[in-house]
Amino acid sequence: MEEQNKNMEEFLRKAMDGFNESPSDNLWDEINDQLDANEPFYKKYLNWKFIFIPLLISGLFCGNVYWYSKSKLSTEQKHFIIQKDQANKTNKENSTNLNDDLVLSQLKVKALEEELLALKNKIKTPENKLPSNLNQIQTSLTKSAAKSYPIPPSNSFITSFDRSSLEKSKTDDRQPKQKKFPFNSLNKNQNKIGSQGVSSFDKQGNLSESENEESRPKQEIFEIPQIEKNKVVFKNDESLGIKVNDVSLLTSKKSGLLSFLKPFKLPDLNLQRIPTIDKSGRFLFGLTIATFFTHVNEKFEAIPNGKAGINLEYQINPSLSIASSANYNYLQYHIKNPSDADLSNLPLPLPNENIREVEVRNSYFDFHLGLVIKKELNPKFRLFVHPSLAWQFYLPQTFDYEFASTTPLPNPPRIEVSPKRFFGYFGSLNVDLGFEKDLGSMFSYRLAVYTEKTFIPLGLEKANYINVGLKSTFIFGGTL
Amino acid sequence: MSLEKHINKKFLKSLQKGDRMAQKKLFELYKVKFYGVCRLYSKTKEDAEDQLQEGFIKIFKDIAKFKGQGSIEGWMRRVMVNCCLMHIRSNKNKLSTEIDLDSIADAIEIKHPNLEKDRANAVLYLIQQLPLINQTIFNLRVMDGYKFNEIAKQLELKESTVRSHFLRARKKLQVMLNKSLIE
Repeated sequence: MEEQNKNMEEFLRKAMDGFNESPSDNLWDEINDQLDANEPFYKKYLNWKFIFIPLLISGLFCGNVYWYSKSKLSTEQKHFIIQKDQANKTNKENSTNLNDDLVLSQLKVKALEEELLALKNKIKTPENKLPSNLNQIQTSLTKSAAKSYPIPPSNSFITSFDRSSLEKSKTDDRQPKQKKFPFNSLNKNQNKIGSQGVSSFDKQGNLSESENEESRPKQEIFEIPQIEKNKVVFKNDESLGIKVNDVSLLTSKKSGLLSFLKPFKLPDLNLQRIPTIDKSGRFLFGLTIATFFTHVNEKFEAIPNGKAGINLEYQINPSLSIASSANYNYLQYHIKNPSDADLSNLPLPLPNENIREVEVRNSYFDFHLGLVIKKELNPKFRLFVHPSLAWQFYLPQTFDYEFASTTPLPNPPRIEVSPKRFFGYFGSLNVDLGFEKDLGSMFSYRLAVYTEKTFIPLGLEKANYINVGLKSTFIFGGTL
Repeated sequence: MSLEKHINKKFLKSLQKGDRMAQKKLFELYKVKFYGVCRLYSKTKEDAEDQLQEGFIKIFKDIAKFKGQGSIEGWMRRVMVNCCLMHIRSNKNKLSTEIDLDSIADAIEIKHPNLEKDRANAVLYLIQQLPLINQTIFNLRVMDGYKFNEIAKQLELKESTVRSHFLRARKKLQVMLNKSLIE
């Protein structure tokens, strides 16, 4: 009895080993959807490799541009400082002399004031009996007082020293001195000037340095009036002034990784100065079409493939442009008599090894970033080389399997598998070598030999490509 | 025939990383085999497909925990059976329903596939005619080699109850098999 039961159990087990019914066809889709739903957001949408590498490259590029701009600015500032030092040195010398003169002048003013007071005390006497030199004394006093007036910066770029008041004071002797040189207004001016960090006079008429030299803006460089024979005179109008926008003073020294571009005129990328846009730059647009042959996994594919896209270039100078493009690619190739290794990464429709051929059809977008370096052969004809790096965004691939048939059928059995998967890669180095011909002031045409080599395996099949073909580009555009 | 030869270390690593293509490949490899398992533990194709779907999701989720000790096929089958049991437990009303198979066997003329020509489907059909509790216990014991105490633990039943259900199930199957062979 026990033996009979065992036999029956064995019979049932073996019978079930022969079970060959498949579940419904859409079951995988349901599982796939459920897996997608369960997948965390960051896994579903973020491919860190894809994001990190472009970010790193962009960061390096931006950092270098910043470094380049900063070094350019600092060299610029150095030149300003040198010029300012020279100017201040002269100013100091002048200021020292002026200070000595002022002390003497003040003494003279005091003496004259005393003399005037003494004369006024004698005013009891009729006016016509006043000493004949009274007017002369008044004039001298006025001029002397002018020396103790806190002379505002007379830099021709930023200040407006009112020379007319001095002229007036010379001519209008009859006006009271207090009105011409009110100390209240002097104090205001003094504060104003002091706040700008320039040498100024205090109430006692002493010249003082209100702030150190480094804190002074460029506009502080001003002309110091000289006192000659009780007259305020202005010298060195041109020698001490430095125009802020005097580009000739700026250095053209370049440093950083972009120093190899020294022979070219790079755009002014300095964001700290007003002229941030190089007006000589041109934005160019282009339409590209290319056909190419593919060499996949050390096998040459005879069927030509194609790409089409749009270009955007920033022309730095006639010899150099920064170029980017976005293209749609169609790439098809065949894996004949695939080995186990060939099939290991492919989405097999059946665990069947009798696959005679796999046709792989890839559609993808690629995004290029690179340089266009041109060599002019004549005014309308140039040779160019365009190296670039490309990012690929793969659309769902199609794998068409052809199975080996035991019977000589006219159409061997085929199964097409197209997994709904999207991939992003930072995956290829491209070089175009060709010529450019102007078709007018706004248009030009480029024809180039196009080469592309992947540096990581692309697609589900993990394929390494070398593409070689012809690329034709129609360029148009002008100054934006 | 074991399909385990298709699962090499690289493939297993891809599965453990959650590579969707590897998951699909595994599904394609084992869908028939595990569908048969699910059919054994269910009454309808729809239920079997639900169990198969849940089972594969569970396998893909837990395969990272598989340390490579023992057979991966055996591990996957256990996961699949556990999913079937969970499905059954979630429908405990069905499990507790007792049907007198003697009366059914007599009353209903069982129209099953030809035992000689399509043995697997015929056996499956006969097993599915058992009450769910008997069917489950019989499958766990005969098809998956569980011990009675393990089955009792799984189904939260007494071991004696499990034994009783198993004996009844085996008896009914013998009757049905004999009847099928005679016909």
